[in-house]
Amino acid sequence: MANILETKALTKRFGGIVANHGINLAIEQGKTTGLIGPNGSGKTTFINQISGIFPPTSGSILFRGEDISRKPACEIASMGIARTFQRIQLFNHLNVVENVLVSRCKFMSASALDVALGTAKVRHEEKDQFDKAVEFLGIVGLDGDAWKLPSSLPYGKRRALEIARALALEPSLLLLDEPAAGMTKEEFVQILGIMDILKERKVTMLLVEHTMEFIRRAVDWVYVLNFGEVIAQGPFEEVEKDKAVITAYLGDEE
Amino acid sequence: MVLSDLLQNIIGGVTVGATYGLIGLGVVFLWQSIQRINFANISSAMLAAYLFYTFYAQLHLGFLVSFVVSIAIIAAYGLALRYLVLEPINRHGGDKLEFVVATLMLCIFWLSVVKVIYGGIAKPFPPVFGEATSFVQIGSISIPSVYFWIFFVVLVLVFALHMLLQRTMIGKMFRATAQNKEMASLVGINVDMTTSLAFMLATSIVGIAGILLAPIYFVSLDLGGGPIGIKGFAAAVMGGLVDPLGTIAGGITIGLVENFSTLFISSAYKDVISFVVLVVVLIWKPRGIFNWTTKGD
Amino acid sequence: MRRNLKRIVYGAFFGLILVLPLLSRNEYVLFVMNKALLNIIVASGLVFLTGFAGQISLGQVGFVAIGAYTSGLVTTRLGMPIPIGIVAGIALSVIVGLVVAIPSFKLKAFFLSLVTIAFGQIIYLLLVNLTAVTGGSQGLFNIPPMKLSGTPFTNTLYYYLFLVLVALVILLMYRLKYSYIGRQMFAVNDDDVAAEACAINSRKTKVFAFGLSAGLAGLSGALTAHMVGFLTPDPFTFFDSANFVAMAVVGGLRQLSGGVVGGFALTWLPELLRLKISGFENYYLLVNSVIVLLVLVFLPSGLGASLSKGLSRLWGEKQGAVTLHNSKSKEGE
Repeated sequence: MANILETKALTKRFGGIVANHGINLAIEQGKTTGLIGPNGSGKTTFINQISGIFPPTSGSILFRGEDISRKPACEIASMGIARTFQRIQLFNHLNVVENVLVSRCKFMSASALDVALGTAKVRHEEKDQFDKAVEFLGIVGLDGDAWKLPSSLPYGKRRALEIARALALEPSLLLLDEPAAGMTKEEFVQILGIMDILKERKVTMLLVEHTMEFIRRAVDWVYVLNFGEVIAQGPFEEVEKDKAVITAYLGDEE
Repeated sequence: MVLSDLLQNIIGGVTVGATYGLIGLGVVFLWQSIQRINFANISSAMLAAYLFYTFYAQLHLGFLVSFVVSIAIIAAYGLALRYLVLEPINRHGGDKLEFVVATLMLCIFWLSVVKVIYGGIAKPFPPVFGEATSFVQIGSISIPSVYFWIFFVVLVLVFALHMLLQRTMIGKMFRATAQNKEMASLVGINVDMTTSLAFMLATSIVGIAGILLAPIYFVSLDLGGGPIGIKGFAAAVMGGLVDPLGTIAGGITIGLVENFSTLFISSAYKDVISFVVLVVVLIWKPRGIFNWTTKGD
Repeated sequence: MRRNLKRIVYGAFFGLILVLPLLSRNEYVLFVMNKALLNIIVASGLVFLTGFAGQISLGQVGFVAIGAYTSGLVTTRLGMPIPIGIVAGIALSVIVGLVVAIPSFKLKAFFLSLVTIAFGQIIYLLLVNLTAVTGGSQGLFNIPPMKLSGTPFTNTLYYYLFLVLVALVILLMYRLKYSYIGRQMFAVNDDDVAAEACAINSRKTKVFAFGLSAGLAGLSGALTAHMVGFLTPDPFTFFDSANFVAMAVVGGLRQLSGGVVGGFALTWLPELLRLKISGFENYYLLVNSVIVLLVLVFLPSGLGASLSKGLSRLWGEKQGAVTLHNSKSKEGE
């Protein structure tokens, strides 16, 4: 199975702090790869580089063989990498279905002139994309809430909405930054359900998580970061027994 | 061009620039405290100058009394800004933009009020710091004695502020709250009171700056309006909106640039030059040129 | 949904607008209405820029000036016909708008506001000092008025022309708002990092909004030049920019009607105050600013928003979405 994304010696420095150091990581297509590590180990920095929020200090990121390390975030998203954020970042003034529709803007071929003139082309496309957006809401179980505002949704559903919005980009790679954080028991079950659906659809995912239960059930392969470096990798059952990993997490119970 | 001219310009630029820096400090304090920009703070400069003029020149209340009472009123104005403008806007769902526009309107309001009460013509500043025309001779340089006083007061004020922020309990509270409100309240700091203090401090500093600038800009509407405000903002920006010393340095830079452009180009374009400098700094180094605090974002 | 009530109210409203010049033969009233319509164009552009795309501009009057002076100069110094002047005015405003926007796109709100203030001030100072070009404080004179078969436009004719233009502007904004372009703006407005993660080029979005609002401001300026016949730097100060922002905010930043309500209200308010409190020119600015302040403090979403909410309740419509038509909600519910 091909690797859809690979990083080679990925390093990121902030002033004197080395957040990521020489990370070599590969994400296999169609599988779910996990990224775990204690707080401050550099997981979010890693995802931020892949999604283009800031470039690496050195090293490279190859997406389908192409180096994307210096590309801006919107281009990377356009190429097929979508993500969610550690702190849910929804568009609070837009309602649920509109949030998803934001991702569908990429698929609109009508020009600004079409919009200004109100042509039939625009009207058709808007309707099509609306229907598609509702479909994506259906995947995460939000189709009944399409016209609500994000602020009126419970936490679990807001997270689901963020995932739906990322999915609506029809990405080849989905980056999930701590999707299960702060969930109640019921919400946890719901989000696991969403993960199952995604895996069924063979969505390639990179999952950054703290909650070990979630990782255990969701991932095919996991990398462990500590102090910005990869200290272990492999199937979860092996990694959780690894001495270095246990030491890293000592005092960091989940 | 004569060396004495050059030196005079430098001294003038530094002095006036330092007061711009003070105005910038007002911006910085409020920004650190509430992450909002307050255009009505600029009015503090004008209001303080006019209040001082009223008390001293019209009511003959004596220098110290006039000064203290003026600044006290301005401090109260700061408090009023918080409770009568910021809080209601927050409560009714307004955000940064509404606050900015509200303070803009307030700024215009004060300009109208002052115009109505005092008329639109600038009044000369009373000879508090020595006669307006008195000079001090150092070699071949003659410096208006006013400048000495201004510089002295600014120096004392900046020093006092520095001591306040770095050495006192209150200062630590300010800095802690500015960094992280939640943390600060968890540690037991009264964030509410700190915010009120920040408002009062911000307006007071700008008020003092206004009184200091009045000898040069006259007791006029200029003090509460565009040109001074912009320079204050520019100073704050050059200090990265974070660093008090950087802000003062920024202000001094602007004062110098102003003076030199008047000398070498023309006084008509002096303001344009300042604005262009501001734009260049903003686009090129938005984190500030003189940001000497090494903290990251 | 009480469709009939809605139709009646809208019908009455539009009817009133259309017959206004016939009802009130007062030239002064028409003149102020014309000024209001032109201000509505600028304010609507600001609503689009600030309300939709979230970009602050405190120097919008600079673009109005560029449009006005360009058209004035093209028609007087170069002797070109008025339509060319107007097109030139709009074009130059848009170009300058892009020049300002392109390097500034990454600036956060406060810093952007400073750049726009500086821009507005620079334009003003250029207007005053480049006497050879702009006539300095004396200004430009003898700008040709619009003519219909030889005779200059009357206020009534201007009124209908401006009405049509305002209608077109609102229609354009309507179409943009309820489309993917509107969605891009609102997304960038709410969270531009998240928007970029959804493949939206926030720079293009912001620059587009700037260009459009600058063009609208330029259009308004050009029209003013020909209606009034002369230009001075006086109405192009920072406070005039602030006034336009006030129009947008008071009218309602996220409302289509924001520019209309705000432009209308804040053009008429000072005029009415000036009439009522005659002799005290200074007072009307005072009262004006107080009233705007009160609206801001108590109704920060703007008068247009309250109006819109009230009307929706009146005809039993649910307000569902910012960029989607409410009719779609029937399928979703």
